[in-house]
Amino acid sequence: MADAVLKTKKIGKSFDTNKGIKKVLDDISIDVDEHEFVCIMGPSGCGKSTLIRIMEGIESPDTGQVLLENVPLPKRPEKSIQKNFGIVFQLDNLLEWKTVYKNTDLPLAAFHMKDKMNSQKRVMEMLQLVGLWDFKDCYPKELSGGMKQRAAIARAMVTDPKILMLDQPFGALDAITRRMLNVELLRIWNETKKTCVMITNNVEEAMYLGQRVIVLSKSPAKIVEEIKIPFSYEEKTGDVTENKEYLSIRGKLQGLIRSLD
Amino acid sequence: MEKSKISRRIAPWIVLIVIILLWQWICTAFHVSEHLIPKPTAIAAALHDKFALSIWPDALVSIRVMLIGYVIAVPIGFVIAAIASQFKFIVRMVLPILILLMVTPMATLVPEFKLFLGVDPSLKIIIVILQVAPVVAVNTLTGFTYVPQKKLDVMRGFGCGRWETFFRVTVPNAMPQIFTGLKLGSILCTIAAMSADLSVGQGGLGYRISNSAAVSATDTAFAAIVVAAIIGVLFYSLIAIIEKKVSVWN
Repeated sequence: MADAVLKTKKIGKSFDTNKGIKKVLDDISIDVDEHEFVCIMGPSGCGKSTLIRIMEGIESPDTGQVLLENVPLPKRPEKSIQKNFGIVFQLDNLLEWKTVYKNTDLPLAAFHMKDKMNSQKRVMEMLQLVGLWDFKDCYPKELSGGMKQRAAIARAMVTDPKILMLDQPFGALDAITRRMLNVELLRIWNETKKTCVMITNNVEEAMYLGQRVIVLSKSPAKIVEEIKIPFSYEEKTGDVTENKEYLSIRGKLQGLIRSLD
Repeated sequence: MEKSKISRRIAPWIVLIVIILLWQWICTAFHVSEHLIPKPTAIAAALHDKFALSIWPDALVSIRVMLIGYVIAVPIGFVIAAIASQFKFIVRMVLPILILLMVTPMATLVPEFKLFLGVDPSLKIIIVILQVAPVVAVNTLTGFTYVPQKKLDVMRGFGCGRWETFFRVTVPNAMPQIFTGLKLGSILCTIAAMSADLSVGQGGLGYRISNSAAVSATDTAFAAIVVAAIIGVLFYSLIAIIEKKVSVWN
């Protein structure tokens, strides 16, 4: 069996709050295989974001470790490690003083990859991929929420990272825009076959995008259930929502989420 | 739309003209002594007569002090803010002192400085620096200290270190506060230079004002005040224009 590209091993994390020490993550072990799309769900405030921040090297765990291609992440991973992650944050995390083009170019500059990757061509390809090339000279405040997140995806992918890490990227968008971006993200995943880890609070989104959905409990978060979503790209983009199996998985997942809240 | 834009442009000038006319009329109607408050026409005449001879040379002395002082003070303020911002305990240490320095009218310390330096020609520049650097530092430091965590996370995601994060995110993020400091600095710079002229002497518009008032040439004093005010406004406007050019994203 192929080794997982990204693994967490018994991760635990606590925070100091004014009500004392609060444990948010308890013994979380996840294996993410190459080319896999994994979605993580859980009640709000359960520590999903903390988990993905630890997995992408922005925070470090108190106990346990994260293994990237079987190498443990250090406490403050350096650029050569972070290069492997393309990170899409929650809404509104473009740098507002840079144009869409400059925002997309930023990772190439930060990782000193501008020459190696032929930055102009690369940025153009990415912005065309997300349909934003015509808006390359706009500043973030001139964009709608959906466009901002497209730009954020272009920024995350520009360095051709091994793994895309998405923390509730469409959580603040309206339902129609969210659906459109889901369709685009699945298309991009199908074309590039990048490994994806995504936090979401939406059952349809998790089932549409994920091949596997991991459900976390209320804080301190533990893994409650792992559910496989056994549908191909063609099925998902077709009429899978009328499929009996799909409906039963959705019912199960929805019940599970409701019982945790 | 066009029309309201024009009227908005004109409105403040109309107010200014009305004030000047009222001033002129009051002085004439109530026979106010020229030595107490000169008429606007008298001020204009004094400005015309004395400009080339004394006001402009004195203005040049003041402008030189202001510019040299400002150019030295701004980087000092930046460096203090940059270093302090990286260490929380330093912020807490230096901020009260910077605020204390910011509100102290430095010209009042001239007699003290004279004890050490004598009547040194650079004394005025030192006063301007002491007045401007703290206000630049305080405002810049405020901007450097409050950076949204999510912006810092972007840099962490790239594995960037302290100073790369500082230059890529902290500085541009603080542009509004930096320019607040630069604009307040330009105002205090004008005030400090004029008051330094008053207490140090040796030429300058402030010196011209006090000297003219002392010999009851009130019209010349007022003419010099007008020039000082215009210099201050132009200086402030220059910084404001630069801000617009730099912060295009706002």
